[in-house]
Amino acid sequence: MLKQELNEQLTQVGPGTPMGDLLRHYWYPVAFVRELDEWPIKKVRLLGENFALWKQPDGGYGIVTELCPHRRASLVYGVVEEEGLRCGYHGWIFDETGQCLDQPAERDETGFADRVQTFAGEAEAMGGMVWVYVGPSPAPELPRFDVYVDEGFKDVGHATLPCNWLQIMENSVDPHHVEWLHGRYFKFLGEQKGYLAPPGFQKKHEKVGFDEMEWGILKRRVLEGMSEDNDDWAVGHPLVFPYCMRVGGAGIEQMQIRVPIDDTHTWTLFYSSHQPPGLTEFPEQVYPTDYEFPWLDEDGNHLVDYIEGQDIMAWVTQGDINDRTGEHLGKSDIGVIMLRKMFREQMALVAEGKDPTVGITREPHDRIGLPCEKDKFGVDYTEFALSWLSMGNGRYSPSLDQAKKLYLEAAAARGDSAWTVAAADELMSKFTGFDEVRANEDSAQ
Amino acid sequence: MTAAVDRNVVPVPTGLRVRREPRWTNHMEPVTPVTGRRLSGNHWWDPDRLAHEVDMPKFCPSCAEPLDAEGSIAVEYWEGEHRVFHVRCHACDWSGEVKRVERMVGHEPPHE
Repeated sequence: MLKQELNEQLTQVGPGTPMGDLLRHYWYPVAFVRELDEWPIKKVRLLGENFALWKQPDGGYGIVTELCPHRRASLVYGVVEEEGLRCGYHGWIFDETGQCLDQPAERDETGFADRVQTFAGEAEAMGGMVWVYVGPSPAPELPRFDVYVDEGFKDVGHATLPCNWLQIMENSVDPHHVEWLHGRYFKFLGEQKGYLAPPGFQKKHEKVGFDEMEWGILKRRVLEGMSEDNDDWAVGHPLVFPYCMRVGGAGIEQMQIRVPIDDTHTWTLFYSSHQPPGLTEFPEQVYPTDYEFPWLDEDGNHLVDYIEGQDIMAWVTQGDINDRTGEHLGKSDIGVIMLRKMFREQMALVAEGKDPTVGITREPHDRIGLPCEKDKFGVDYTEFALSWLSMGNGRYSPSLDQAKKLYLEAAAARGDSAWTVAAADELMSKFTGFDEVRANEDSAQ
Repeated sequence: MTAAVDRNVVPVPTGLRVRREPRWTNHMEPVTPVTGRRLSGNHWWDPDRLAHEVDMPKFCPSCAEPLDAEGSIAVEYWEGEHRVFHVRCHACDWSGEVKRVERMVGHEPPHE
């Protein structure tokens, strides 16, 4: 339980707020490289502010405050030129530093343009996404986490949710929800509707642990029938402060990204790099596959027949901003408490004019490896991967068939001959929707 | 007339057969603007909320600095019948737990 003032402070991300000031010390993905190759300007809303992001003819990126400082029209409807982004209204042009370079209707000798500067952030591409920094200079290094830079077959499911980003992050340090939301509840749905819920998610938690680390909070669990020697405890996986979670297993290397759009909206992305053990080469991709996945049905009810849909139900039904003055935490919620404590500590450092000490680096680097278990919940690698693909938002990916094929090739490469296409289809056929599809096919014949 | 399908001779699909494309909207009504809005939920006279205000430690048990200062925090959780406040003080970096005890009850020692 929190006091109302504290809840408001922890959830407000706009400029000038303590949390907003902290969050402005980090880089965020705001677009896919593909999008700006298709159209070079995109409107971006981030941390309660609007920006115009554009791709420069030289291949670089720029980001400035959306509204032109002249007459306040949107630069999103501008013209991309060699020198920068030109306002479509009166032709003022701004370079990637925000400096105004030209005002066609003004006389050159006045020097007016020299005196006009709009706010500019920094932007660069990594892993098929465009990342921006809109905080105080100098910007820290863009952290090159393993998922984004390692070789793999990549796909990104995403959706915009009408809730505050913090309630999604608190879910990342709440291991017990897995055995209930994705375990018991999923099993209940399966029993009612005639499909198999993944058994690996139904195991009881015997122990959970949390360790502070330079990138956030390392989360560990011991499940029933397992021990501290298993990856789930010995390795664990981290909440990557302040807005991501690194997760995976069986060769699925994933970053779950929660970009705070404003106080009540979050862009959530599941960035997966498929790297099944046994394979070293992966299908060529110009861009990672990106797709929006559904989380509400046509009647406005939550889609809860897949893992992330269940998570989203829990996040969104807490309200646009969870009223934590009405919550009742227990001992099992120590991860949530630890995260709030970390946020308060880091907010204070920023208020004192210092850098945050968690989740940030100013050291140039090529790659940052994060701990993440491979053996997940003690389930066979291929079975786990196939259940993740078909019971997660990956079921909506246009690349699903390719990903499935990849895991079967990897199983064969490891000498596991049990996993044929037929065996995979048989397993996946037990999951949601098969009967419905087959019934439709039957009735169509 | 449609012939009955013999499932034994239906070729095993090589592509994914479980994927479906439900009709979906991802549409939710716009939220009320946050500015000027107080959070709602439990009533202010909710006994747990009142107890939280009363019991929450106001000062660091170690250095006595106010716990509502920047960087400090007191988060309440429940352990059995007890309200426990996990506290972190930014002034002295003390971190620990404060628990209000209303009645001293010990365990009965083991006996025959």
